[in-house]
Amino acid sequence: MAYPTERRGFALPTAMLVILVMTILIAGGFSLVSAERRSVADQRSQISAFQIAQQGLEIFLIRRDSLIPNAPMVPGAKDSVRINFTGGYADVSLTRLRPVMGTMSGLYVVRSKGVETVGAYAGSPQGVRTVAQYVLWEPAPMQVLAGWTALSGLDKNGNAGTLGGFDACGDSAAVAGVAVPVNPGYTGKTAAATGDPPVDTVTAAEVAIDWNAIINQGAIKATITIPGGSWPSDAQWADTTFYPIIIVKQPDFALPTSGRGMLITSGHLTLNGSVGWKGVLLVGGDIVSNGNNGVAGATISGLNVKLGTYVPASTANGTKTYQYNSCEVSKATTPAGALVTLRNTWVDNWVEY
Amino acid sequence: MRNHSSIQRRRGFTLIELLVGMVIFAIVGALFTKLLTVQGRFFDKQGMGNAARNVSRASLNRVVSDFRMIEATGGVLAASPTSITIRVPFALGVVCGTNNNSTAVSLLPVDSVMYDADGFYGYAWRSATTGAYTYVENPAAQQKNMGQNLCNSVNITTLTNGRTTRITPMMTGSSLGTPVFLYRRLRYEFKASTAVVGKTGLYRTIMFPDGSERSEELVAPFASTAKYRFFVVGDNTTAHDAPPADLTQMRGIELHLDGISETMVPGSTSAESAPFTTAVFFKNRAN
Repeated sequence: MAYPTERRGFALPTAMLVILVMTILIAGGFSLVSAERRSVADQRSQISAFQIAQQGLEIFLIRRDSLIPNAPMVPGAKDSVRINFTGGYADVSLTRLRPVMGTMSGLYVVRSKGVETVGAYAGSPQGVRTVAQYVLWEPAPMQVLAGWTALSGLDKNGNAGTLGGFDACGDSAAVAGVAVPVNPGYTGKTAAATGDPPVDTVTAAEVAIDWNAIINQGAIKATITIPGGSWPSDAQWADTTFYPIIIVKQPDFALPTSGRGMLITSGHLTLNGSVGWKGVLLVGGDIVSNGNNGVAGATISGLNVKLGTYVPASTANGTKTYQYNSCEVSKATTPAGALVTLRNTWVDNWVEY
Repeated sequence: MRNHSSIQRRRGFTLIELLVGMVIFAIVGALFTKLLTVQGRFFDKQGMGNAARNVSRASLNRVVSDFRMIEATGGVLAASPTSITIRVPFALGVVCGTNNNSTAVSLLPVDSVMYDADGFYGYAWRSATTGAYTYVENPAAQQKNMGQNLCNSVNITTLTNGRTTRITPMMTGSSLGTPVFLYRRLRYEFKASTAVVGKTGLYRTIMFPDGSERSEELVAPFASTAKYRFFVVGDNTTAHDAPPADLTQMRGIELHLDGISETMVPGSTSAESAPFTTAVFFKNRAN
């Protein structure tokens, strides 16, 4: 029994030493590789987060309406939405820095915080980057050729009233008082027409309004659509900043009350009594205007002519005031505006605490 | 007893056993030494490769954050393959108004360290019609935390963590809501390193309006291939070795941040290198 105990070899210690040294080397190598992979992953995460942030910013500017259902047409003090992407998301917010004031556009800043949610190592924070951009809310541009542009002609009965092309707001150059095609043209009394010139000629093609897109393809998003919707109440009209876009799709429509904003009617429009309008009237058919009323802004009638449809001439009876007013036009077209990027105002050093 | 005595007498190795043992030990030892050497060199090589890549990465992070906000038409003042002098915006805001011969500006949120660091050199304001910037410097000054009342009076909201400031000379030609940014003048250049003698380092130099400069070596060492190349408007996507004669035509910079290790792996004739190329395109441009 004594024989085995006296066999003192060195194989086992040697093997253990080799294993120990190899383990240390492998652990060191693994540590190196791990640190390298973590560095690469962090770098990649930062780049991905930046890409997500920039994508979020650009998508928001194009698709705000669909991203934020029921959002007010003119952005309020703040909008925010999360846009999901493969591998991350962007928290995008639109903050108003200055509201629309007179003819000055509303000033906003869009901030997009991109977060990468995949690929981060355990214990490593997610990649986060923020970019931002100034934007303006620009009213929809509208070409105004005259105080009243009547593409199916206009018949003015009586000398009383004003069909004026001088800007009552004083911001813009004068336009014609009335603009009509050569045929059927302007008939009746001309004394009421003032402007530069008082009466001008125009063709349907010169009126740069895509009437088909507006009336048939939903190019302008309405605040109220009739039939279906209700005419605004007196309480709503009491708010003097309320400038809705009302689209009426029926053959005949009589203006129920005075109002303001943008009124788009596919057919014939009647203004009776003293009801009037501030803003823009876009009328597919003719306008029959009776009584002591008028429009401060811009009026275009007979737009169905652009669709190839016969439209009778509009009629202005009584004391009429159809006066061009660029401020009212601007207020009426503001809801139909869009966010416009201010080029050259991009930042990527927005601080996040 | 006889057998027992025989076992008791076997206390050593025979010569043959000893020789065989020595040969085996020598072979195992040689293999083990070889293994250690190879593993050691591999370890060194990996470590130095990491160090080289870290040189590239460290410089990348700093350079990109300064370069990305450069405004295209006036942001680059001088350029060569090894040196570039730029105006780096550090705070962007909008004009609230002017009074007392100065202009009040409401700024977007910006990191306090970046904002309070030395080196304000001037400001630039954006034309509403062209989108281009007009630079104002020599002299230009900034009064921090001023102008809030004026911004409030014209309904300009200063955001949380945002700031207001007053700048002089008074901005002429701007109006309420005109975008404006404050900037520093910086020079990034590759030149002889002081930290790693005999190698190339990347320096960041802050330039002050009085003509003085403060330089720091960001990171070293770089290979001799480290350099800038330049993208030009209206050109294809290939970067050029030389900057355009008209620097306002530059739209981006290709960065060759080729880091190397400080030392060489034993047995190797060159340092470990990490060739690294990336590009920064100016996001702020009017065209």
